[in-house]
Amino acid sequence: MRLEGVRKSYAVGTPVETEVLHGINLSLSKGEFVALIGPSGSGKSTLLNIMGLLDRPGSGKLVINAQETSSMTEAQLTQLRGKAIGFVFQTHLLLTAFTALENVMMPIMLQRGHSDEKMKSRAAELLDQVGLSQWRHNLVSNMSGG
Amino acid sequence: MNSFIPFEWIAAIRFLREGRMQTLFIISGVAIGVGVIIFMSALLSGLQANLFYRLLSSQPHITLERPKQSVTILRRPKPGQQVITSVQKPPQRVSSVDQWQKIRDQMQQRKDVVAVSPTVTGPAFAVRGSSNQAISLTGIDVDQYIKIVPLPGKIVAGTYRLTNNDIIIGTQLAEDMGMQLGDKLRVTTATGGNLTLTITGIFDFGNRSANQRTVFVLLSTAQNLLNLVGEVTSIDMTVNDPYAAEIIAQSIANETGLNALSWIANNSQFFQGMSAQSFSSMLIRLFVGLSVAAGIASVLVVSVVQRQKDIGILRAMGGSRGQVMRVFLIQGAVVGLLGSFMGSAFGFILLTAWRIAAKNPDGTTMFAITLDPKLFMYAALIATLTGLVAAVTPAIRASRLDPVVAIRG
Repeated sequence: MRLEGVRKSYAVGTPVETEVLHGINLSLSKGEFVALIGPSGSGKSTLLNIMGLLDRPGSGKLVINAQETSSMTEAQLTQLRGKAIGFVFQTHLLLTAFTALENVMMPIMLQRGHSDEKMKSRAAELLDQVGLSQWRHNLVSNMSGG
Repeated sequence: MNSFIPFEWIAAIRFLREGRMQTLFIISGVAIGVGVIIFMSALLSGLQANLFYRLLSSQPHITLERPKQSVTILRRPKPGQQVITSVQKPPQRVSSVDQWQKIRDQMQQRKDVVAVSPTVTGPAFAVRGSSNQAISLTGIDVDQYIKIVPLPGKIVAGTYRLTNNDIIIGTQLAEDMGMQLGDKLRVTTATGGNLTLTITGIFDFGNRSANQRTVFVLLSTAQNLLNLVGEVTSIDMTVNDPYAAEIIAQSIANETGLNALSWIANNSQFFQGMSAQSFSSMLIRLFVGLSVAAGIASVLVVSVVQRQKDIGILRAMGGSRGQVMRVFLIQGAVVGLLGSFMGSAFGFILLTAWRIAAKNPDGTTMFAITLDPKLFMYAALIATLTGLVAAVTPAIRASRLDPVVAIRG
């Protein structure tokens, strides 16, 4: 993932227009682990929303898997987001109507339109890795926050 | 999660199940609407079928008569002249249909005509001792006539079979003249006809006037009494489609040059009443349908607001706008379909209760209501489509939610 001169402003065109990102240049490689640290209101969420393809930059370039995203349509961005981006939200943002297993396989299920056995076993493996396999069939709404 | 079911269906059902109280209430709302529509439709069609049956079972669909006698004005004005005339309409006499056998055969060959029966009708008097009463004498070919008016079903005493010396009278005439089966009745006509006939049957058409005035004798008996030997005054017919009787009558009138009177033209006020009833019922059903649609839409709009975070998560995880939209459309359709199932059961209970409660004073059913499976199928189809249409606005709203805003709530 590569960001080149990414800028983002809020309340554009109004007297209170505020630039939050002032030309970010960043490059992340596959497998690299990076923590983004900053005081409240410094633009961390804005940057993550742009990197997660949930929002578009005001100017600059965002390249993911060698694909430049600024000219992509909404549908193309959604597809790329589903394939290339995983989210761990600040608060518990899980689909309470679905089980733990279903929440884990949700991105791939949304891509394919339905579940399959391979998907299920892979999601079960991942839950096992974090010690949640015994709750995999529990609805998220019935599980504790911890 | 079943591997064969598309994700949108699973999400829609899960969302409905999670908000089960809300879902139950809206399905109940749809059920009440569908139940009322089914009940009203069945009741109305039963009532109308009963009224049509009563009306049609005592008269032919089409009656062919000789055209009215009119006066021909012989003196025509020349150019520049004016003729002042006062034309008096001639009185109408009992007159026969020319070449009625040929016309009868011609009518029997038509594909839209089911039965043809020549009749002789004319005024007469029923005389018994010092009492006499004006009657309408109808001479019939029994085997043909019962295909047009189901006389056997109307007979309350005796038989519908006739010989040359028999007569069938109505219940009211029997009561007025103090007569019963087997009694002799003298019938006289203005043309000098005079016969004493035996009462072999008493009918009830469910109409006081018909029961008092109409009497049936054999065609040949009526021809003798009315001095119309070998002739008939009208040709009665039954057609395949009673509602097309007026169009068929016009076509026959053009074909034969005779007066063709359909039961629709003869009962125009009845038809207007029926149309007004159908229209008002249709309006009620439409408004019930609209209130059901508004109910589904309002619940789904609230659901979109409640599910804002879920929509945001789905979109963040790669769910397309189309998938989100379909999740809500399916919810609307499922609510409509389940509501229609419950509503069908509710409508069935209402109709059963009505059949038990609504009785004539003698304990018989007021009128038959047939539970047509098609009615339930249409109700299910319309309720599902209503649910689907009602869900369009909430579904579009859900699909347009910005994931960032949706997740923030």
